[in-house]
Amino acid sequence: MFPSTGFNAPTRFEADIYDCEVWGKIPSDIEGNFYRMQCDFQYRPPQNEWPTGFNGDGHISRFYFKDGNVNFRARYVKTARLMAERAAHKRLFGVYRNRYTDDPSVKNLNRSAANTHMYWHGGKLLTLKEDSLPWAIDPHTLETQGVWDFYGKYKATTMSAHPKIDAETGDMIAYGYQAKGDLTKDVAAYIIGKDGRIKHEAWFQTPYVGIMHDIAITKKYILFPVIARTTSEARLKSGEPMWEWDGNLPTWVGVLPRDGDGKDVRWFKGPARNTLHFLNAVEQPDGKITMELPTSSGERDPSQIRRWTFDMASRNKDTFDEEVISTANGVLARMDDRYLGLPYKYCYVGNRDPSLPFDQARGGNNGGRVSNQYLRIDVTNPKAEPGKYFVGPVQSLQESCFVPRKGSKGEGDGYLMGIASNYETMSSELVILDAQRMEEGTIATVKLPFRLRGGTHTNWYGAHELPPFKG
Amino acid sequence: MAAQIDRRQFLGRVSFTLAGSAAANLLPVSLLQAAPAACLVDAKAWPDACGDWQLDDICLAYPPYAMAVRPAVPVAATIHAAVEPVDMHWVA
Repeated sequence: MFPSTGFNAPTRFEADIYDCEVWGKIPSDIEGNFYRMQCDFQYRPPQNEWPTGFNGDGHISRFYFKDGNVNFRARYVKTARLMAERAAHKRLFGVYRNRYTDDPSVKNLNRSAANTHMYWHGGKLLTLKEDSLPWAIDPHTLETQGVWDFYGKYKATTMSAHPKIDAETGDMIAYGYQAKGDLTKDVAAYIIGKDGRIKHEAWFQTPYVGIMHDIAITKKYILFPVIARTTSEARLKSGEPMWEWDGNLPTWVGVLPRDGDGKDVRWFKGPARNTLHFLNAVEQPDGKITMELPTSSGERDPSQIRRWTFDMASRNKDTFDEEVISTANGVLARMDDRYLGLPYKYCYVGNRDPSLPFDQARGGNNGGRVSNQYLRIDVTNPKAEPGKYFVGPVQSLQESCFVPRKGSKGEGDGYLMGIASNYETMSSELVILDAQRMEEGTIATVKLPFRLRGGTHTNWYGAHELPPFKG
Repeated sequence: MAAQIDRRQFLGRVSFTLAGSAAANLLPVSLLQAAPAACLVDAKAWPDACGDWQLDDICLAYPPYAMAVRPAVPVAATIHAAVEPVDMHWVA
């Protein structure tokens, strides 16, 4: 049992709240589901684990909006891993992505904690962790349905937590890295139709085994960045978590035509960059691909929003160019996903602004340890003053999510939602902003009577996107 | 709001007042070294200012998902005494 009182202590509970406490008025054109994931810990991590949130059990929350009311539900994803540990009444799985540290009793068991992200596609709500296949859960009850392998056709051993959904076709562009087992250089890319059936598959190898947490897509291409955080058999056998930064390695970005096979990958090289998440990529009229992302020059340098440019028209250029478009230091940038892979304007990102106040008497000694504002950055005019929302003097913001206004089509016409950690009340709040007027503050705040520890990722699915609840 | 609704009390959390110095003596060194202001002034100082490298640092998210974000009310010494060393990073 964790004796913790800290905000990021494991919560270890499941919950249902009917009609949450709401401050303000929720617009009636918000109808659907805000999902968010946190890594929780049913059991204490192994004693040699470095402090991390990434090695906890998947714990998904759903805020269901209808007619201005909100219901809340939170459930663990009942993975094979979690259920084995529950049966044993103790932790059996070792440090982050290191089989050598597992208890022998779970040697051949699925290691997925399903703790990173969730996507609704092909009639399944998939909970994802990049070292394994997805676990499907019911989108309404959040009850676990089982491992999902796309009707037996998904051959890779892993699937990333960051597939992309093509808003025009409904296709999911998914991939797995270390796709033939731990430490393999193999990558498998899949195009999966909106019916959940695999339409296309391509395999290739990366220049080295580096982390490939996210990808970007354009209308024609998939971009696969390989980041200078690597691993080795020796490292795993030493009992350490998988990844280690190596600033001597270059960043590689593989550009694969969506309909191509592995031999069609074109590699572009750049200096070592620390990054995990990518905002968007677009094909420009001159044949270049531009891609915006939060990244830093070294392992510990401040993150900035930068643009990488790939000259697809040049036959000889094998490097990408880089420019800084914003010094916003947030690393979880989001957009209006209806414009994924298409020309777009808006980036929504959390940011730490040290000039904004933090009340230590009420919020504890957390000054500086907070993402205290959301920014709306116009990536087509980054010198323009960004839109800003300051969350308050005792809160910290988690990843935001853009929510289209019901029936809207224009980019940015909708709301921004995100979980705020309130360090004074030691509880969590869902803040709802007008994405076009976020400077005006919250339209409504959904108050929870407990805390949700730091979350990983969020997604929104409108009521029209999910099947009706038959309960 | 805090004066009206004490959510920690609602949750049954133990939250006794403790002299800051006594709490500090029981905290791990990595937490005592935390210097938030330095984190803001120069992020390159993070390794020294914010403790050892954590797996969460992979994505530079702040606060890291495992950071023991301390509540304003310190934890009782009796609670600290019951905490195993391996769990100390969870304790405020």
